[in-house]
Amino acid sequence: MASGKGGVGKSLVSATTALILAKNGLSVGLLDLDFHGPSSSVIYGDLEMPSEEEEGLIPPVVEGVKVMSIDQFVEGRPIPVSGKEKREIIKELLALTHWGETDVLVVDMPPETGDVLLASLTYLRGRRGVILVTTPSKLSLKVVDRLIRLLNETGVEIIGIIENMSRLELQDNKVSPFGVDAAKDLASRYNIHFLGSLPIDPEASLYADEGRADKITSTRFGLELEKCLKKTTLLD
Amino acid sequence: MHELVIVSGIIEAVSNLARKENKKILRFTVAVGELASFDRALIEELLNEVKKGSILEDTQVDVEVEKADVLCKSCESTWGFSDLIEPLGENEKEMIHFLPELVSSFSRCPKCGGRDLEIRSGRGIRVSYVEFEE
Repeated sequence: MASGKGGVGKSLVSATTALILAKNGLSVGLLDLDFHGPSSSVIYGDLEMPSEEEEGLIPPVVEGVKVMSIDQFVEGRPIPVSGKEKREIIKELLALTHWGETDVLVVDMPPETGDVLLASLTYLRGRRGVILVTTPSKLSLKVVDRLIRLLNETGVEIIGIIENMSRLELQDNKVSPFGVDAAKDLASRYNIHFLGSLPIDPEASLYADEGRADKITSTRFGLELEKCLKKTTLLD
Repeated sequence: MHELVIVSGIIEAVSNLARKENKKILRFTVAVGELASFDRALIEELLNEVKKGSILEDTQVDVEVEKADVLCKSCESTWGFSDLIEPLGENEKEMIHFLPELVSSFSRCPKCGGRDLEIRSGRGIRVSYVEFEE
């Protein structure tokens, strides 16, 4: 899961995606690589430290999802690491973690197109694909546009684009505070699958803040995201 | 075994060096980083085992532990990694043991208080010395 841009709800989309895939019977891992703001793991409540076994570090399992985040190691402390250290940590995390039999590993990328993205493209091999998350805002789309061009050069499959925060539903009124159709237009310009748009959902945000991973998939946000994922090979 | 793969690579690399220089190697030293998750004694045992039957069979091999040093990029002072983490609790030390690069989350430069810390040595395993026959 990547966007290049911060504040588009990527962590909530990543965390909920992992929960939806697990709910649909897949064996799923979630790796939060957002060094400076690891938050997808927050949605899973207070995570235990991974346990050390002979095979490596075993991630804790929440709602069927194996969760690994830098935050489990630093427990809320600042993470003032620069590029070289980030690369080393990613390498170590991937080498040390024993995911076991896993169908899908959801990786929550930080809002950047630098060290973490490049290191992930280098070290995460095999069948891989990127789901891009954006808001309808032009600011966000501009950054995603750049990311698409970078990914196209690397030959990594772009599974599709999800438009988050597309509308706010107030009783019978739908408000689109950041504009309409721009993400769809971007997808069409690059011939990328537009997977759908997600509402601003205060209920999902509340559950995320409270670490209620058990509740998020049944919110409006969760149900709409499931529809998006059903358009991909992950859940078709 | 992870160590066996590493050791085989070292023996191959040093053998290639001997061939390239067209000289006999009398002794070489392998430096095992303090932060590398390798058992020094096991590395030494495997090196002596794997070199049997190779062109390094009669070569003396020494294994030393390379101390991990941390550079504070703010004031350019250097600290021993183990000295930096010494004041920490057992739980914190265990976390750093898995991901040493997170040292800056737990420790600050004792001189300037900075957190722009970089591990400069003691991270991996390398051949630190080679002595050729004259």
